[in-house]
Amino acid sequence: MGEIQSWNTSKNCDGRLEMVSKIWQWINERIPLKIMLQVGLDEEIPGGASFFYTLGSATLFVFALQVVTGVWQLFYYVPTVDHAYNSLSYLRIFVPYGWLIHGLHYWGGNAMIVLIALHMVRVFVWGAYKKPREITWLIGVFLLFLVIGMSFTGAALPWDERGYWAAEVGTSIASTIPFIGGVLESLLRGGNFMGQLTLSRFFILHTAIIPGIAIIIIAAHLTAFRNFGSVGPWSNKKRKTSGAFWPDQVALDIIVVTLILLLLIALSAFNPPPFTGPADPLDTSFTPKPEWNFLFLYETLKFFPGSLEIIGTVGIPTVVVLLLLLVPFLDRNPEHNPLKRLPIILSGLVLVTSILVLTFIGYYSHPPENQQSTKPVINNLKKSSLSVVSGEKVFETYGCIACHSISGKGGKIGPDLTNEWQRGRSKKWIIRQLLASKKNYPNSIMPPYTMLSKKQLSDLVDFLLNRHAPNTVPPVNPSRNADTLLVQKLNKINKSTSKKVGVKQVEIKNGKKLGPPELAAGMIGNIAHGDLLFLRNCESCHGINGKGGISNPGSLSGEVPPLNPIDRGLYNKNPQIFANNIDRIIQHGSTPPGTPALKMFDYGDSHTLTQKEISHLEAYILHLNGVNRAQIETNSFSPEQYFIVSAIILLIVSFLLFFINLYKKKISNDS
Amino acid sequence: MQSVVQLENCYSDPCTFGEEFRFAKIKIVYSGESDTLVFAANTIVKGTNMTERNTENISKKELSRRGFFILLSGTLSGFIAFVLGIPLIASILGTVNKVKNKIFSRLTPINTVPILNPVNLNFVTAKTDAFIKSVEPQDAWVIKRSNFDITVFSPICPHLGCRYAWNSKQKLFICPCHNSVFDINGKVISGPAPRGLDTLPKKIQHNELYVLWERFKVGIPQKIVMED
Repeated sequence: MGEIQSWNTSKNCDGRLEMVSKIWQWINERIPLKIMLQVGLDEEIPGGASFFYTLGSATLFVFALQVVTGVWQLFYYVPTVDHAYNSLSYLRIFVPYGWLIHGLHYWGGNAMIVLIALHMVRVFVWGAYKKPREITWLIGVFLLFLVIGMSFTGAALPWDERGYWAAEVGTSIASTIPFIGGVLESLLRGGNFMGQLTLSRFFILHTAIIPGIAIIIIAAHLTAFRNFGSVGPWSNKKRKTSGAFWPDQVALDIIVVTLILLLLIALSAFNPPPFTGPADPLDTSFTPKPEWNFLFLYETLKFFPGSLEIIGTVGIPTVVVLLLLLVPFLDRNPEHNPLKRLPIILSGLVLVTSILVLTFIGYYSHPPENQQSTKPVINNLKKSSLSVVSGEKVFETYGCIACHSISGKGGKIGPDLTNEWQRGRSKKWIIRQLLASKKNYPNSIMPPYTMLSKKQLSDLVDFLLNRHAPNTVPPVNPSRNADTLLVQKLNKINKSTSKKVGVKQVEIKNGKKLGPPELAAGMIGNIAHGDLLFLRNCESCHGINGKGGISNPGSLSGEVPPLNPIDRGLYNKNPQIFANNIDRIIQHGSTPPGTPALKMFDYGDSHTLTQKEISHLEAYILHLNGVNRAQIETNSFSPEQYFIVSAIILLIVSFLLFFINLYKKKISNDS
Repeated sequence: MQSVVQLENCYSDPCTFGEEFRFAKIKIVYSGESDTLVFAANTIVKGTNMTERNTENISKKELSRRGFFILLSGTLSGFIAFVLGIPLIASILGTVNKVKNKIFSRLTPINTVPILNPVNLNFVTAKTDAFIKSVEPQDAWVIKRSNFDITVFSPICPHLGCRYAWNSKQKLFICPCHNSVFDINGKVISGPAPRGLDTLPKKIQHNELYVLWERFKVGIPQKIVMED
């Protein structure tokens, strides 16, 4: 090795070099940046760089992405039960690229768990947990727990149906842990019940405590890794060569990270997190199913019914945790080749396979059907006479079915009439009920059916007194069944009539009363949930899928207005305005022009439906009319456009790099 | 082999970071060798700090490969910074779209308003501040000439935003702040007001009066609606 004779600093290293060099020196005399860079980048990798080794860096990148997108969401998100859902919806719909920031955070959280799992499998197969890297492995396992903790606490923060119920079930599972369960549950919930304190605690755990610990632990994990370096391939032949972390491994890391980022953008654009609607603790129609990363535990629980449940909730997770922690101590043989460590590799394979299989079973399983078919057939009993048949027709066409149900078919506003034949009421009593309900019940809200002919009345009564198939449909919501509803409605009517006697309800030309839109109009409901609620509350009048066709005797149009397509006066292609328009009718009710037998009930004012339920219905009705309630309303690129633009830029950059590489190779070959 | 080493050129990295920087790639010619060899000096080149690895001979091809990896890392990092930077900046600097959905508020049944006798009536308006929706009480002056001729005035003086009042003795609207005086039609009679009283959009449906709450810029002759 010779002595360096001269430094040529003339060509492209002019005075600038000297200046920069001086600054660099000045800085390094004060803070050892150079050493920091060396520690960060200087590492020899036995066997050379490999795509297998990119998983740890990719996880680190996604963690950094989570920190940035998480902090950015805090510009808009508010962790209170009354504003969490709406503030997040606002971010996702109205803020430029809010959809992307939230989408990246949501999918990034999922990606992190996948990447950590792959990273662990890689480390496991390579035997990289063996001496002296046992503690690096332990720290890594602890990081996995922290990430699972962040996934669990983060899911609750939107305070939507899915997050709320996942937190409810999760904290209940925590409560089954022997001895400390009760304390743990109330510690997490901030009391016995889910509420604002629960959200606050989940928020602070998710945004401060867990990530704070994670950052310290990550630093320890990285320091330990740098100290002992990469374990490298197990084959001695391959180990003879070596590569450098910078720039070889870094380049591979960045390629993988870029592809992951593009994938996350694609998922955010084409498969955004669903709007499951604001959390509704009263809701009985939502069937919670855990996030995919907890599905294997969810499936495991099913194997242990009743008093054995604790095996699934506590026993098995504890065993899995212990196994993970003990891996480096169970397998202390210095051999790294997986083919020579078959017992431990096969045990790992069994564990991974069972988790995967349980996850898939969980993914494709359907929760036990708690709803039977909502449309049992009325006509399954022998008709006793012709009058019963025509009575049934009257029942269905004159709007009775909108409020009353028989054999599970019909509305829930009025009492169920399935067992009317058993109540011992006279034909005369029923006719009086039909013509002037108030004579039987002074508080009745049933409209008088004076438009029916004598024959129709008689047929209808025959039908009502005929024996019907028993009602096979359980009450939809025990807390708000027809009786409670009726009482609420009556109370309300009494109250309002006592206060403002003689004040007529105000209507405009298409029958809508101009009360203001209520809270529901500002919430993004869930379409599928709205569909279910529509079936229960609206379909009996507005027809299947809102197609209409139910007659409304006495009204000018003669039938209940269809909602699909809806009155053009209410329609608007802007989802917020559309929702405002229909909200006022759903909240405050309306009476169609004429002397209609049926009028729209005030579902909001009477608390028949909660504001959250109304928001679901609105999302569904908008959906029927081709309007997406969760339509993104920003002036920037649409999600799809943004993905396409990013992908095109990346393609161009890749081509450029490819040609530069070719050119460089050519030059070096030529010389 | 003669051990004279000659540095032919230095690469762009030392130009940027200084000659001592670890990425410095120094082309050194061994005299007597037919092929040109290149050093990749990872740490301090000048002096005696060179470790064994730093002095490892790397062919020109290898150096080119490393250079390409650095270029690739830099370019892709730039791409990541770009596709993430734009949304992050736009989300806090960009304009948030607002839904313009003006909703008329119910004011009063028109038959309760006295003829040619201005009354100040309260009503509520729906207010949206980002994602927080609330109702806000407001008031307005209503002047009915007949059931078909009704004017609604904003209660805010167009001069500097004070609240004026109807003086039933003088039959004038008088603002207490700077003594702007308006007649029953809102016309300026005296005082500093630059324009007459501002009317609010209204409509009558089923004998009920509805009003749309708006605020206007004060202190100028033109009536300009202030947007949220």
